[in-house]
Amino acid sequence: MRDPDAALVRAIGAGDPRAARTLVERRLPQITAVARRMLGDPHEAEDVAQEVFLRVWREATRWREGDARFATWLHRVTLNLCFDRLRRKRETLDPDAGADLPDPAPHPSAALLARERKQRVDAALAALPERQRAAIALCHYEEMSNIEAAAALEISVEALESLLSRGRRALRAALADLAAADER
Amino acid sequence: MDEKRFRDILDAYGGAPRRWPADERAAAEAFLRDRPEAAQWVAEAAALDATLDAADADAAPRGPSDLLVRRLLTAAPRSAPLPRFAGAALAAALAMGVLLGFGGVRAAEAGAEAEALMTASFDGLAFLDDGGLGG
Repeated sequence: MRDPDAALVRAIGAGDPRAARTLVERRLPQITAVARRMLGDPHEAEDVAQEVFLRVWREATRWREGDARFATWLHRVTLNLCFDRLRRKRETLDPDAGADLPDPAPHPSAALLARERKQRVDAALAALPERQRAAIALCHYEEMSNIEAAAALEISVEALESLLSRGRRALRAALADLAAADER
Repeated sequence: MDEKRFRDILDAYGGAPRRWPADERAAAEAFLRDRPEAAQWVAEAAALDATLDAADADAAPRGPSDLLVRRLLTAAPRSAPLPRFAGAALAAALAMGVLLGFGGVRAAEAGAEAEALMTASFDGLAFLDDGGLGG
């Protein structure tokens, strides 16, 4: 199957600004979303997305269609940049920082409840080991195929499934009360 | 598709068939049709999916900011085509430089203009440096 981005990347390498715009429209939202899911910070996520695309601009002439699709390469670069940032944070920050959840409001409105629920899910995702979080970001939130997600993470499909299963199990345990509330 | 594999798929990919592995989706859906108890397992997996989707139930925009888009498009490679007269102007400037022994002020100015034109034309290629794309 042909890589849907290959012609675009060649055109970008040739200096076609319309191709750059098309690639940004097609891929930037997903790259930003994955980075945001990984880092939990929209500003940092945009920094990563910018770094990814500037690298594309620099290296577009060298792109050759190979085994991995261009979108897979984009995700791989994105995840590696996120892993780097998370590693740097771990080295400089208190490991318990950010683990606290905000106190619930005394009489929460529906909007507050929704926000609290989002914070709970975000916190549970943030507490996962990075590679489990990356697997869930790609397969659940971005709905990438297992083959593409495994390629982006540079692991086998079996290893991806193991990350997903362990991640989902941990999330189910962490969020059991939310699911129970849904059933009531 | 046996029960173990079906449940492994649910554990890894959740309850929505669109997220199941493409090469096993049809078999998994057939299994679901054939085994009444499988619907309960799917519902349990889908409940976690719904909980996870709460992370997206946010008023904040999910997409990239306009500022980021603008910044990227400004930095994108751009090949300004070399105007047809540029080559002739450069050749003329060089010729004049040779004729005047590079001593004439006008020739120097013409040469500088042509050089500026060439630089502007190839500015878009200046971003090409090291590093490997692909693989």
